[in-house]
Amino acid sequence: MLAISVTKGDYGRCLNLKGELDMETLATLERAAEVQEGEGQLEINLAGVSFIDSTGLRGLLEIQRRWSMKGGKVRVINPCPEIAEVFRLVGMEELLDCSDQSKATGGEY
Amino acid sequence: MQECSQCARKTPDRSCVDCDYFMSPGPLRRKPPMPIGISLVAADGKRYAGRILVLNTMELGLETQAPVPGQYRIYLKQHLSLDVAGVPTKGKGDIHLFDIIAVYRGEETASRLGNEEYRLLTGSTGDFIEQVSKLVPAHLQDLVKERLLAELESSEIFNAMRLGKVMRYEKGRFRHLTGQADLELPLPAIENLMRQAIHRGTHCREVIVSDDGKRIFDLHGIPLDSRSGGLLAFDLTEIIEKERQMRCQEMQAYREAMAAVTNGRLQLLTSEEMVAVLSQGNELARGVVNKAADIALARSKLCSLLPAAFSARTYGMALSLTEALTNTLKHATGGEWVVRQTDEAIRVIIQDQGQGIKIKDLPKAALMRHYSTQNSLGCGFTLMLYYADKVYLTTGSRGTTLVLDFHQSAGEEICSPAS
Repeated sequence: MLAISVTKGDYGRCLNLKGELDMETLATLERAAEVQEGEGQLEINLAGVSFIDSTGLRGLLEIQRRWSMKGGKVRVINPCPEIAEVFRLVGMEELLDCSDQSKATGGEY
Repeated sequence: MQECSQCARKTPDRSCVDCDYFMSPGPLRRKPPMPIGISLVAADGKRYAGRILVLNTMELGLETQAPVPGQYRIYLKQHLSLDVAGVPTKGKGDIHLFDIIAVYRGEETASRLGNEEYRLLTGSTGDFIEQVSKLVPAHLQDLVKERLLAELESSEIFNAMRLGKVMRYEKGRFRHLTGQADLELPLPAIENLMRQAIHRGTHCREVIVSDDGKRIFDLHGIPLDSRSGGLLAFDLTEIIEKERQMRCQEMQAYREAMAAVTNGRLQLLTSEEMVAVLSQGNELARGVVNKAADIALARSKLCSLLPAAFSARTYGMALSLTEALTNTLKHATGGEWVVRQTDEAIRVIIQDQGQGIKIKDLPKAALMRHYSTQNSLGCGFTLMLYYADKVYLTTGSRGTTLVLDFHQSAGEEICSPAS
């Protein structure tokens, strides 16, 4: 399951994810990101994400690419340590904002 | 120097074709089974008849009245022609040696005859064409010859041709025409095929196994009229056996390579080996995945039954299971999962009935940090190989079984003495 709330921060609009990001829930994120297209900068906050798999990671990459092509920017923040490790394993660590501090969310599955 | 002119005077009946001075001896020097009739076309367009009596890959011994010295083009078949030049010092009477200056194949040019061309000219397949084309009505003979020659250009058929035969079928009986006379074909099968071909009025083909189960034949029935036709039979046994052996060797090489590249973590197993692995230990839970939502369920079931010793590895185990199950949805119609406990490990088994993983894609997937949107395997394998202690894999056209072992000892924290 995945729930998304939208807030506004310094960077721009922020999608706050809560739950799991996988094959089943990716479409939810994609729709939420699509709604924000044209905003220029988007933040995706993973603080509430307990699980992400390669499908979810690929989905994040796609969103970033699509925004990039249209001159926008997407940054992904607050992955828990396990999730940060998965980013690293698949070679996608650049997607994570470097200034971001990973905060453990007490993973629930 | 002038051996040929001397020979013409002293031993006029001596055959040039067998003479070592005329054409140097060697393994490539051959006489075609029957002299090959050709035309030599001069630069001015004048044509001369000729016959190829002996050849190697660079020279032709021709019987012709075309003037020598002289350069000519010979059209052998649709896309194959030669430029030749007569050698005045070799030969006598109407028999002359011609150097092959150029070989034109379609758009390519070469300086000598290639394998296939050479075999076409010197082998008994020329014969074969003649025989086969006799099976068809006169007005179609040239067309059939043309088509057959075009087909024979590919060497697979050439190899097959060395083991085969042609038979004429008439009034319910078969008569051997050419090829291997002792090639034994099951009579009911060839009769059936011929009747089918004649009844439908069209070429029929069937691959059959001999009665003793030892040989495999590719049969072609060609109808001629309402009562007769021809049968071509190719013995494919050697070819198929060779391919099977090559696949076995390939598989063995992959097994060893995968084990080496992954430091023994990923092992490709045979079906027998996999059966043994699947039966070890006790079952803890199982489930089925038909849609994406079932994967989250599988995850929570797995996590709910993990012993405390595995708490630090929960994410990795859940992720590995997820990746494997996602693959079953992507590449098959879903799959099943089972969690077992063995003495050493928690064993997660994922099975599907898809079309199997291409083994050649595995090495890429086994490399760490490989991620590609073009790679159909994605990075699922990379992740599974990272988090699991051992991965066993069996895959084939009937499906895939993946076993992920998470060792107990690897999960425990080892306290090292303070140094």
